[in-house]
Amino acid sequence: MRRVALVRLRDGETVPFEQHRVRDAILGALLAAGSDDRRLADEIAAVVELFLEKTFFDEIPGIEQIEDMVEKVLVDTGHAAAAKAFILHRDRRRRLREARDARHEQFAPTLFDNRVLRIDDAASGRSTPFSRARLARSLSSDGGVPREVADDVAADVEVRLRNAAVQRAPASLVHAITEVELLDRATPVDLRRRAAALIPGQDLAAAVYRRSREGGAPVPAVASRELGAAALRCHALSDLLPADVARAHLDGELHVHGLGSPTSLDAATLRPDDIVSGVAPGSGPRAPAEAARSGRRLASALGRATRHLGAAVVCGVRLRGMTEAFAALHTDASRDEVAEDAWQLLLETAADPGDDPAEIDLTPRGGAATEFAAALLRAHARRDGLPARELLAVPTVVLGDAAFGDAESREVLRLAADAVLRGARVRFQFERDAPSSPSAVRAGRITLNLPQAARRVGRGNVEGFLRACDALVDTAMAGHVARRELLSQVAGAPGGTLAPLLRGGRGRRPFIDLSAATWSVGITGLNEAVAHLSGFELHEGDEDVLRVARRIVSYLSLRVKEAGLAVDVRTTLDADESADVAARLFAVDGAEEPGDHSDAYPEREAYTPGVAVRETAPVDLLDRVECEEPLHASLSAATLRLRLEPEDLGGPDGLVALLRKLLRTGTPRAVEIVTW
Amino acid sequence: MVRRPPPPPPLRGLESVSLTAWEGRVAAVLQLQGCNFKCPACVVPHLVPQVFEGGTIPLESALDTLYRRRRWLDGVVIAGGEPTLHEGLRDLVRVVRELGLRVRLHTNGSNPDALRAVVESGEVSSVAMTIRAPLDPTYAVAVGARVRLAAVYESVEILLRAPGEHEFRVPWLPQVVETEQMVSVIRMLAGARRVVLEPAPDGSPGRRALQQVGRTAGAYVDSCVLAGRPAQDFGARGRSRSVPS
Ligand code: SF4
Repeated sequence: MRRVALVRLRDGETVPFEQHRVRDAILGALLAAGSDDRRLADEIAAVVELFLEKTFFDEIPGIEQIEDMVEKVLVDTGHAAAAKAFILHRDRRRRLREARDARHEQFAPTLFDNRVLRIDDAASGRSTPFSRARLARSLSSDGGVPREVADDVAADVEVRLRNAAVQRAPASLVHAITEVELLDRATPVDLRRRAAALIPGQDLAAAVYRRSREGGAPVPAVASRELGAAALRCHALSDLLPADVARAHLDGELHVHGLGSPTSLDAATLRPDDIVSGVAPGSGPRAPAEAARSGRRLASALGRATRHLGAAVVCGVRLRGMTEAFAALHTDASRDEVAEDAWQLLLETAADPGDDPAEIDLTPRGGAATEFAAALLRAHARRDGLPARELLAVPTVVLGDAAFGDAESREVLRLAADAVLRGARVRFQFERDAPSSPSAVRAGRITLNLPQAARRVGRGNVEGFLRACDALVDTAMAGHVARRELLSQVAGAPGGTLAPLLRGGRGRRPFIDLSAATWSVGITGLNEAVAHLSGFELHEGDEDVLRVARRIVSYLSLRVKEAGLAVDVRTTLDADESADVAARLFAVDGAEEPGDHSDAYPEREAYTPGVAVRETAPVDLLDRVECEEPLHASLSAATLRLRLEPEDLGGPDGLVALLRKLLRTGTPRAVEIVTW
Repeated sequence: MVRRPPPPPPLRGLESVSLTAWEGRVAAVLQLQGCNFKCPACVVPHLVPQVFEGGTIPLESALDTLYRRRRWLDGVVIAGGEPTLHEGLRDLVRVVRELGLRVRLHTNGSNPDALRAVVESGEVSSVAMTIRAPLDPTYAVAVGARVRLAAVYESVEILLRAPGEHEFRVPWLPQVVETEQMVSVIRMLAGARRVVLEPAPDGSPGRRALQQVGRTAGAYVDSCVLAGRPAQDFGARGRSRSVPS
């Protein structure tokens, strides 16, 4: 016997038959009759389906026929009270429908009209299913409309949207229709303020009154920047990005970084050569010669360039090759002079409040370089006369085998470890092969929401998941291509922050070569994706589970490369470790199926960022390392974040021993150790 | 008559990774049941009784864990209780060595014969010995049991003479081993290659007091550091190096 697959709606359109709608209707009737037996509802629904299959084996049933069948089965199985409730409910809906049809000469949504209407809200950066109740609530609470009028208006807005037969509509359209409906009813409501920027009033207020710190005064510049970013995000989502990329962002399938500043770059690297050759932003004609004279001048030239560049990138600037450059100027400097220059560099490169801090690479390769690295770490730890720690550039100690060789380099490591023990942020980057020279600029980043894709394909369907990822990667590439287009337009336009960086000037080559920039595809929530596919989180699973994780990451790394080649974009696959992105995607998915989500993730507020094991997982240090580090081999950027109690670290020697092991035994790209 | 091999030591705990048990090494810790002391400040009192009703961890499963982890480990620390009480200690050391891992032994120094045997076998790479008081009647108070002081002294001698790595741990104990007593313990250890000053679990008597001990007596030994603190070496060798504050 053929299963009932389709249902004909009242307007003649056919939609897929969904058994749970029948069950919900029966459960509603049972509830009205005073019983909440879900099993019974399931059973009756199964009987209804069986009868439908027998009766409609060669035709598509209409809604009326299905409703008749529900009624009949309820009566036949002796649930008279429920049958009566169902009949009354049908009757009430029929009358309502007739009244509406008389007015609009159109059909109204019914019990079985399952077409989800999505509202794209660019201001909040997500899309949500249309909810009549929510609209009515916000009309009566924000707009002061009486509740009955609000209900009526919301119902009519829904009818209008459904009559238009659209599946998605921008929030601005809903606002406009609502206003028309209110005007129709001559309900005077001042909605002007709500609609001004299409940014919810409470978000505006929050930005305006936000304080930089406890007890501090609100910072107007920060408010302007945040609100400017919100408006630009709306613009980017509605006008700049291709429609399917914007939609995928709003639905949480992926996250496009930097929407609040669409003409910025994602990250950039600054090298001393850039100063010396005069291409660094902000350097005047005499800068190269000046910078070559003393460490102090080099530090201030670097500071100037960092500030210029910082205005054009979303994530902070990374300063490479610092130890070597300063070492060259420190051949016969005293210890105090070295310390002074290191202090100066930290001061000059400190970020403004609200911006991401820069990163400074330290490569302790002996001699003056090691001395400078040690001096910078000491200055960072003491912070005498320097801005707050979160604004200071983060020292990144680059470790090659030589780092454990001589006593001085070990001393640098001990200093770095000591700083970690004192609660400072220090990164350790492993350099196994020849020193890599990745591109100076990461132009953009789009992160894939792996858990959502995995949830959609269901348990065990790894192949299906990889196909879903294929589609996501293609969408991400379309986003990158559109962004590249936009950036090249900006390069051609006069003025702006980015134009001089992309164009160069006065016979100099441009600082940024857009064709050499990389475009990153990030992944986040691998742990939850694996849990959806295999039933186990990364730390709980055996070798098979880890194999699935490795397969996903290595497949994606190839797929991303391939997709990049197809559109001539240099791509990388990275772990996106941003907690904000993991939290946004988690919230978007949660709004979709609130019940399932809170069951699946009790007491959670975000997915596990990147490819990490859940932070609260009951595993020891080495279990965590063993799960995560093999994944790094397929990623261009990933950081192993280890949270340790200071007591578990003992002294700096414990940490140094751990770093040595990680460098020599595993393949992690970078490590960040966080103490509680 | 065929001599039966001694039973394996009763294994009560396995800490699969520790960065503190063997300074500068990533190590696992095997904890053996039973101790002949009853130190009032003992941090592992559950390991003190000779017999534990709740059963022990099968040696095979612990070795299996060590085997799986071996590429991440520098070594294994065998601690207690007091490991030298068990006849099967040497066999245990040997099987751990067979996994390709180095071994450190933690001892209270009350059993010099057993200690000599393992040290002379050359299979133990490092020995950490805790000296709880100066060698006078306070020792019995500090360890809560009768103790042969000559045995403790002999153990110190064995370690000072043996060529391998050693570490003497000198804990502070309120009213029994104050900073003054710690100084006299360090003097007794003159020539030791490494001494670690341990505060009480609550951190007393404080960093400054222990630094004072280091400054006063550290020069008698090569290296004298405060447990768990950023490197500040008061030993003769450490003083010659530049040390960050
Ligand atoms: S020697 Fe160690 S295990 Fe034995 S009682 Fe003293 S502290 Fe506890």
